[in-house]
Amino acid sequence: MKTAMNRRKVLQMLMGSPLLNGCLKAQSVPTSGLASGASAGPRKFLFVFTAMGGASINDCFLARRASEVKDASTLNVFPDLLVKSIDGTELRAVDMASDAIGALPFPVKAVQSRFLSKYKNDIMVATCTGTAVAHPEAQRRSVTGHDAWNGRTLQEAVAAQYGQGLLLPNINMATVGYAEHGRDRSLPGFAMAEPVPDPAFFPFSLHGYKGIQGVPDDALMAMARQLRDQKLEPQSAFYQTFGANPLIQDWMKFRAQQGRFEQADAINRLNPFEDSKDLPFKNFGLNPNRDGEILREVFPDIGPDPLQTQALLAYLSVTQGLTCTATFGLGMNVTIDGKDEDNPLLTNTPTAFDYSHNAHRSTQAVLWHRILDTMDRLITLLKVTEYQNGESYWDHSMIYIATDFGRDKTRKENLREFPSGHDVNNGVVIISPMVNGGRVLGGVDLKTLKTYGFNPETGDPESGREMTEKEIYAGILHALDVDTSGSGLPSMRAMRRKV
Amino acid sequence: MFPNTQALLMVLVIITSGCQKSKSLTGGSEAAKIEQSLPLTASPKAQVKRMRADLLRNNLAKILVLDPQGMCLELGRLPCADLVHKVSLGSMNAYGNAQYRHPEQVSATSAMSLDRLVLSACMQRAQLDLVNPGRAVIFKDVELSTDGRLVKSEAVVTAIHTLYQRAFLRDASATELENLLQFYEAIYAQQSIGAARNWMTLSCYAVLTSVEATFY
Repeated sequence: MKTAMNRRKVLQMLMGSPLLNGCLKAQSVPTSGLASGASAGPRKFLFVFTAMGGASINDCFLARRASEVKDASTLNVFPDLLVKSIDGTELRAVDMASDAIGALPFPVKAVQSRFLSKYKNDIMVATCTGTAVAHPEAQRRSVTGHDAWNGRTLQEAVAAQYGQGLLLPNINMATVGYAEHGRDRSLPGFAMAEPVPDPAFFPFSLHGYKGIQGVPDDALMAMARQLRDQKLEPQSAFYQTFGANPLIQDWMKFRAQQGRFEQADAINRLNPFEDSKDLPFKNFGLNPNRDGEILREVFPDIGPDPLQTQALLAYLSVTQGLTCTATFGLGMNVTIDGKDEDNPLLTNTPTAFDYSHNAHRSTQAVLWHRILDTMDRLITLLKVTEYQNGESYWDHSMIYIATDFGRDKTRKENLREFPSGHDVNNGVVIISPMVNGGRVLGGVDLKTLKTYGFNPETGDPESGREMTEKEIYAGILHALDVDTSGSGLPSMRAMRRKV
Repeated sequence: MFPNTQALLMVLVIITSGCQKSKSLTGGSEAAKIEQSLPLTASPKAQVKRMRADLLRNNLAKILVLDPQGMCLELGRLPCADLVHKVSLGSMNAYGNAQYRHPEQVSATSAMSLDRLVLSACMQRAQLDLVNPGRAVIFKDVELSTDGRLVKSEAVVTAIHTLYQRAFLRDASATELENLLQFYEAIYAQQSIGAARNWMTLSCYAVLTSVEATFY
């Protein structure tokens, strides 16, 4: 145990250093042959982090100090000392601690400044005003730009552009509105999201029989499938009568791809867990990912921590060449870090950010911290994993922190902890080398704390303007170089990195 | 009642194929040929529903007379239909994952999840039937020679019909019977050791992972 802790500490110190880079490169699994029919040119990768319940931009990147506003006692501002400005940018960070999250007796220690300082050049905040305050609908709109392109989600658009030939172009581990498929009937079938309800179990469904003790061998399995597919099924009265049904056709189409999954050994490659008494993979003929030890150093809590498990699956599915867009994030259920039994930590509040109805400030603090911590780990791995020609996966990746809406900008006079309702006014956070990083596009009205917009071409703040969901949607896709011809989406040059 | 003679002929074939149980092991060839020459008219609506995880689990448990909770366990402990493959097999997970609706589409992993569920169940059934042929459910009284070969007998034909009866409430057609009997020869040619057990498992798998067993 002592050794593991030491190794972890060393790796954590090395996060992002050339030493860790070399370490992962040497052990990364070659991905050649996994994708077929791939489109020419390098792919881009979109990670959508779902900040369930309403992540307020005023409690993180656009926080304001009490001394900056006139009505500080009734607006959601912070004591000056808690807000840190990030050098060379207009980005802000809130570092704070609290003894409880409202009535929940769990301590909070939230540090945002570390993440912002580390990635400030890749962080872009774009203000936005949404159109819905009902969670599921607002969540759906945050990824469809309020049906900006026939109802196609961002992830579907990216998968349609870059996912051709991949086995699982678009995986979705999110819930409620973030888990909905888009409504664009012209979307190519392969671009539709594959739901992943539990990332820990998901690899089991990537092989038809490996890991089942005593199963007949590959050749016999192939013969049985051939018997079913070529002899029994086509001649059956049921198939002849109902075989044209679209569900059956889809079933058979996906079934025909099984061999590719099995050949790719996805059941093992996407499994980061360690063989143990509780998880006796080897007894069942399974060999988890050989990079597992290093991956578990960066994500040490996979298994008990669903968010880390999701993030690691997102990383693995992309870097193993199966996926070009992965969606994951906070769920509705409470999670607790119980490693220290005497001092357990709450890592997800009930209904996630929506617990701000009960305790706004500490809920926002604990969950923003959690998001940034998880993103840090993901980016660390992406940065040290080579994509091609010496470029890392991070060079081609984008993280979009999608959220339902913002929260109320006001509070009862001088309350340090207070409840908040939903407010369509907010902003989005996008982290990527491809966006106009180190920038806040738009600004905050110091009289109301409401955000205002920016010029779509220059990025200059425009105090009388509010950015729409459609504009943000367009900016994300254009930064990812997705061909949106004929979509009618507006140009959002300001959101792309200037080269 | 019967709009054309084709339909009438088909009914006759189905009726006669039901009597194949008592015929010899190779007696299905002629009937199989007749069957193949009679194309069926496809349903213009072709409306079917997908069996979701709980229905699949219960169906399989009933067909193979197995414990629905112990029929398939990943790593020997994680229930397939109730946990690991629940959503992939078309069910929802309201409490665990705030997923309040059944998936409308078939997903890329659905067929693989079904394979695992059915294969585990079929392996159990084959094993139980081999160990206690007298109390067997599907492969009742199927005999093995001393070197593990399947002894050709009426019991083999009956077993195939039993599998179809329990799965689809019908006998195997002559073609299906013929194909499954030939399948044993193919398995034996490929791998003689354990051929009988493998044939039992894989016949069960091939039938119970077909679209007829997956949609209704």
